[in-house]
Amino acid sequence: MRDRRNHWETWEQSAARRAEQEATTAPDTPRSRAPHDLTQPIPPSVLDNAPYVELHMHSNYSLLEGASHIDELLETAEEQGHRALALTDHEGMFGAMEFAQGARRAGLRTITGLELTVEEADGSHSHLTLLAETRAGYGNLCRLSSIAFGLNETTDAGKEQRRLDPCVPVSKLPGHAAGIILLTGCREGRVSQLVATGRRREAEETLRQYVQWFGREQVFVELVDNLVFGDRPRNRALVALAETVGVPVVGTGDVHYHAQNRHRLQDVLVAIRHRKTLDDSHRERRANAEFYLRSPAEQAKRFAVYHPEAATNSVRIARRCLFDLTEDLGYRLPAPPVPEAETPLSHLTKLCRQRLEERYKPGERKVAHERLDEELGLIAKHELAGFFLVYNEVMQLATKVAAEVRGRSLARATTGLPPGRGRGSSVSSIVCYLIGLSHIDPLRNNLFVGRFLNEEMHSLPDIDLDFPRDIRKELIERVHREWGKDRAALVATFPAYRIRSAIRDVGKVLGLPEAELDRLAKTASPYEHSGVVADDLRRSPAAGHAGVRGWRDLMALVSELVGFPRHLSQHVGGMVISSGPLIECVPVQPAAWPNRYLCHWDKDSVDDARMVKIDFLGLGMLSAVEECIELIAHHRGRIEDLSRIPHDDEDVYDDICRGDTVGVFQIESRAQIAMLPRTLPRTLDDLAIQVSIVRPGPIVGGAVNPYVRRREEQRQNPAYVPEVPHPALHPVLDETLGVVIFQEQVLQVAQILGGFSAGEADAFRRAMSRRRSKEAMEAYRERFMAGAAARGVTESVATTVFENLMGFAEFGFPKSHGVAFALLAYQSTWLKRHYAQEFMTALINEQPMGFYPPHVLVNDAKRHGVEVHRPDINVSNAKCTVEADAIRVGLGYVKHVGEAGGKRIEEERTRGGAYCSLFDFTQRTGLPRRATEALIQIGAFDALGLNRRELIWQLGLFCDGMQRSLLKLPVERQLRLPLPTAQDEVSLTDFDAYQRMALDYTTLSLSPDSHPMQFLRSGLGEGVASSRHLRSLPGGATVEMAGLVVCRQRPLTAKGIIFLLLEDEYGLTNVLVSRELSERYREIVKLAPFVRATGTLEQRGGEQTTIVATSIEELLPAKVLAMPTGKSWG
Amino acid sequence: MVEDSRTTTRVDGLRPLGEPRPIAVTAARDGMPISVRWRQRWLTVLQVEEVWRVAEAWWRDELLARTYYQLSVEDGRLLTLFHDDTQTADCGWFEQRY
Repeated sequence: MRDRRNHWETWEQSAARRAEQEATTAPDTPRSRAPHDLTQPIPPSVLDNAPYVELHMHSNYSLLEGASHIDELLETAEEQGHRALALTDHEGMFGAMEFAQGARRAGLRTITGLELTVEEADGSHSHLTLLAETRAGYGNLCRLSSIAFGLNETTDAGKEQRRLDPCVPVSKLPGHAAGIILLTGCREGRVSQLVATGRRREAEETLRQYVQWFGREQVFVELVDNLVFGDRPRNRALVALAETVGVPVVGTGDVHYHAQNRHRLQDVLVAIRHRKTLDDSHRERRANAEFYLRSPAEQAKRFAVYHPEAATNSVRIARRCLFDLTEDLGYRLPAPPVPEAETPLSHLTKLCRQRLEERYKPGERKVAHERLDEELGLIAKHELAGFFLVYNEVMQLATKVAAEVRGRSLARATTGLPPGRGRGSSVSSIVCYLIGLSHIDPLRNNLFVGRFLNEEMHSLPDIDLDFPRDIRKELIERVHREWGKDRAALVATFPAYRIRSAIRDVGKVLGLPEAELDRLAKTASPYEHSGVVADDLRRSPAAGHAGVRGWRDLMALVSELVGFPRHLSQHVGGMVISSGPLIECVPVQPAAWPNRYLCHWDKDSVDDARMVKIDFLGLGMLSAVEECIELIAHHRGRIEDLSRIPHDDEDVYDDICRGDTVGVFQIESRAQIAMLPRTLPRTLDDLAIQVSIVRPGPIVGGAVNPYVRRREEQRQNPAYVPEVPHPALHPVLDETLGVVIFQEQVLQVAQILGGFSAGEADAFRRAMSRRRSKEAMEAYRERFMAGAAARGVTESVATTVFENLMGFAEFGFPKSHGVAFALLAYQSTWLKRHYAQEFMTALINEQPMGFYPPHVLVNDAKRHGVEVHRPDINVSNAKCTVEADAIRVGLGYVKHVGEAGGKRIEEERTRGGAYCSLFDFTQRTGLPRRATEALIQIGAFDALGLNRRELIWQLGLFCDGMQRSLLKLPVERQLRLPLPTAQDEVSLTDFDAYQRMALDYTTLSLSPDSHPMQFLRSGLGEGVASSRHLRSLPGGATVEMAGLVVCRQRPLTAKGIIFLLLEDEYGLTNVLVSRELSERYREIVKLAPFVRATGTLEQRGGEQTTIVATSIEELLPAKVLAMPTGKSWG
Repeated sequence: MVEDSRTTTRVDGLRPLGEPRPIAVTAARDGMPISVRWRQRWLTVLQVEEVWRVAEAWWRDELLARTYYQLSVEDGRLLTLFHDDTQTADCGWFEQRY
């Protein structure tokens, strides 16, 4: 465990402590390659006898510039015998923590720095290499980086400009110079540029200016030699200049990749960044392939020709840079104010005890107090009272925000909903329950707290909160306002290249034809490696090119690029809060979203820094549920309080057991619907297991089939006692019929059978997930086997249990999470059962969310007796609304209209009354022609009496007239009257039903009244069954079925099997495509909008039948239609 | 004034200027030229003034990888040579005239 003491030390204390450690290390001790003590920082003595230290190096966190991962750089550095390294990514310090942690594991000292772009007084840009010598220097780097990304900009335009083109005005340098060592920069450095262009006097002035701002000891003239034309004479001139001014020189490598062969990828990245092809980006790309990491000896030799100290000065600088990011960050946990004479712990205790009395009945209080005391003991031990009080404070703010947001609507405000809901392991804590961080009583649900809080915690507890989207949006802004932008920031994330995006981007810069690239990208699954795509390429129509240079390069480069961070983005909801200025710890910048600020670290770096991260997650289903309540109140005048609905509604469970769950929370997926008729959940506890079982953990851990089988046995024999691997496990595994489904069970089994302590068990669980190490796992195996043997467990049982735990790994839910989600799953099913119309309306309004595209939801609603009406300019609102027995699709759903256009139509109608003609509409709304045309195409003007083709003809006349009259003529002149003349009037035949359906799908993404299969069925022949027909056939029958592919899924746990979900006019059918078949018909399986499948029917009951396909072909007539693509789940 | 030649410029009449010419070089192990055969004479290299490398067009079939040397030779001349790095060390030397 990391020494917590470090978080409370000042920089001086920390430096003194390390100096003491240094003193006890013999200075001449050669650097040992033996594994070092990871709890200790790497001492400066590793630099003894080092010839050179690399002080200028970019990782791929210099986005679209650096061409190697941090791990690759570190591995190469270790192999080449480097003792220390600096990471100097462009402007940001996105990878600084990852680098520092990784280097520490590798036994390398690190120097934290960045390469800053400076905006000179004349508006030109130049580079400087800045290194953090001390903690204060690091703080200044963070501030400079924040400024570069626009933190100080006051206008939106200014922020946007800095976000796209980060740089710091030169005037900001003097105020942020303390503790920084300045190297004058690469070829793009101001001094280098001036010297190279013969402006020596100005170069000297600039250098003297740096000396004045940063101090003589802090400035070094940087020499770079990458065998670029001009490097040698410039370096000679720089050495002469340095001698004149009396400043030392230092050589650096300007490293952009770890190995020379990565120069191709670097060229590609630069071309992508400049949106040019490789051929067109000659000026932007580097001249050669010499920007790789070289060994210290080679670099020392290279710089010896310029100055005898150019290389050794790099070592001197490295020795001086004592700031260690893994030790000296100085982040302080936020300390919320507590009343006088109270400590954070006493205040938290008082708060919890008071609420315990309110929440528990007298008979329950004894047990509740015992649990509370246990948790408070752990909180005291780990000094986490302040941490919980911060959450309490945030929840109070959330309650206030929720009241304000919900206050705008009657039903939401009066149902007493909590502001948000807990999820994850925190739901198991009574302290979280009492301070409002969770809505689930951990005692009533028998939740084990050890996964959340235990004796030997390795990191801060993880608390996640779900909010409806509107509340979350407001809350994030309020937290920024309450804590200030320098003390609260959102956590960053770096969306990485996946195979599809890599194919598209690399292909473009190689100048390959876009249509073929697009086809290739679409057939690639998101998680596939490029070898599979290379096979695809050989099979695809582009196969003729497979041997051609560009296509060959594409495959090699794609495999290198996959996993590279692509841009900086906002994490789904994580925020860090600090009691001191956060921008002293990590750079902060304005997010693309107004009034939000973003720190430069992702969740792993934030975790490594032990920062308090609060996850405000937007949960679409919570929004849908609240909107549904609102719609019920408006439509039926009834206020439903979800906290008071019965949890034993037989009708609701009947729906669940039948698998009639399209659209409901968590149990709607193809896999869930297939399993529900077999597990038949009838209680909330059953549902908690159900939401947790279709997860990679239980699937890989081999829990699913035994659980399903035992459920059946249990139904037949109510006295059934589930078999468990060892009798001692009955108390832990009985509730899940003897298999491991929840994370807590992993911990409990490890404790009971392997004799692990709570902390060891939790460390074991963590070790299975993040960066799983074979050696670490082997050590845990030995520990487990020994513990099991000591408890009299046979070796075979212990081995089986350990294998099951290993299979489970991290990828499962804690029970607490399952319980929290089960409740929402039940509530959403209850709403669908009793208020299908309102529920489906809310669900469609809250898209995107869930497993199915909107057209599947609409078709499901129709099958539940809900009529769906198409948008109408005089009836529809921007969002979908509820009518008598129907859903009215909103105008915002129409392509090119969108929510903003829909609102404009709605507002204008409210203001000026119904639209009486197409001309009236175009004049009053001013919508673009293509938006109005889309509205005509999907029938939003049908009520006006003209057919759609005639309306489109008319629109052409009006728009043409409007352009001339409104836009071109002076305002005071008489407007052209929209009077159609005889020659303008035509009589056109309307679109037929098939064309209307096709327009619905292309323009509205759904069809309110028809399904494509209605039209295609007649051409299929009699042998092709419908989904309705399939439900009546016996299992084992050979059947043929056709439909629209609405989902394609290739679960990682399914060994290459692809699941297709086909929809016809009667319902959904699963088609299971074996690996062999899917490989043979890869393009059909991946791309065809309609397929015809033949296979064996698996009859398992319920709503969706499954066909195990023996052959599959594309249904060709559909090729003429532009169909919405199904959701692809990889 | 230039007189009109009364002829049309034709593509096959164009001739690139400054085309690299093969040249004989003896080089040290690290590739640095030691002497150069210039107009039937071997000239010793006094100093390597500048070295630079170019790696281009790797995405085409005719990739370009050259190491250029600007040399002071014994007769006081400044020569620019390059080695075509796609060829072996002992051949592939060219003189680059500007």
